[in-house]
Formats: sequence, C-alpha cells, structure tokens
Amino acid sequence: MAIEVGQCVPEVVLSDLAGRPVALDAYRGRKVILFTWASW
Amino acid sequence: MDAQGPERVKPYAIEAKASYPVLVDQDNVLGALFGFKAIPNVFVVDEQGVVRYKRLSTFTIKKPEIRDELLDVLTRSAAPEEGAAPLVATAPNEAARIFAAGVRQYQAGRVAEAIALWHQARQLDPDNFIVRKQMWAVGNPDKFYPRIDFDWQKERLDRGE
Repeated sequence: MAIEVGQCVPEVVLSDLAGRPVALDAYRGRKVILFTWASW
Repeated sequence: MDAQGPERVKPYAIEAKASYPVLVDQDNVLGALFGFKAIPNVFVVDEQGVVRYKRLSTFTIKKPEIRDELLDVLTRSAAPEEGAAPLVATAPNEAARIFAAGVRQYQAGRVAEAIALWHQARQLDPDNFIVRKQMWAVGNPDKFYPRIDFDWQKERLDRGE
C-alpha cells in the first residue's frame, strides 16, 4: 500500500551526509520537492 | 537511496553541486512508503505535509512537459478544502523487511550475508530494481564505480538475473 497524491507523508527520519538525523517534518510549512536517486 | 551510506553518496552530491539538502535512505524506507521499485522519482509535498505530485521512475527535468507539470504543482496553492486523505498504515512487506535486514548485515561488515538476504528479497519482489541494483553494486563495485557499466547490466538482465 503506497502513499498516493492527497495523502499525508508519515514521519520519516533519514541521515544527512554528515550522519545527522533529519526528519521530513522539519520542512513542514514549506513546499518540498523530494527527488530520489542512487549512485548505481 | 544507498545502503552503502553517506561516504558512497557524497562524491555524487559534490559533483552535482547540490545546493539542497541530501539525505541518505539506507533502508529504502521511501521506496517502501511510496511504492517505487526503480529510480529516479519525484514527489512534491505541500506545506501541510500532503503529497501533491508523484512521478515514478520516469522523471526527467529535460522533458519540457514534465518540467511544466512540476512547475504547475509548485506554483499552485492548495485549496483550503484540499485536506489530507487518511493514510492507512501498513506493515512493511516481506521483501522490504528482508532488504532492510540485509542492510543491517552490510553495516556490520557481513557483506556475503547481506547479499544473500538481498537475493532473497529480489526473489520475493522480482521487478524491484532498487534491491537488484543495490545487490549488484555491493557485489560488483568495479561495474559501478567510478562509472556504471550498462553493458554489464544488460548482459545480466538478458540472462534473467
């Protein structure tokens, strides 16, 4: 069951490049473009 | 997305001169949440945390119609009645759970065990290219770093691997 347009993103915490945790919630109040990529 | 962590990702962020925050999703949490099985993907999340746009696997800023689509979503302000639809929480599927278990093994330095688990995840979710390519990149770094050998990948895909 994947998130669809119109649904709220649940709490997600990922690390930044320095290893510090960043919650997606921290961007609440701003529009966010989430672009997912990989090195491979 | 990279099980190999920030050290693997950093050179690419530097090369791209990324002026935006770069986060590393080692467990493929976003793939499981948003249901994507390949990269790249783009989502727009509005001020209230609601997903307003999603394009899976086929995003490219180079196509004018896709760029316009994205700009349109970014400039549109949400109507007040456009609240968030409730999200039904679901447990991660078996393949996602096994993939994440493989990441734990990889992080503990047990590469062979990690690859064995990723192989299991790939069998449960055969069209998942995130699982497959992560497994290939860790097992065959010379085919991915510093440059991806696409012919090598095509040969493996042709053999049904």
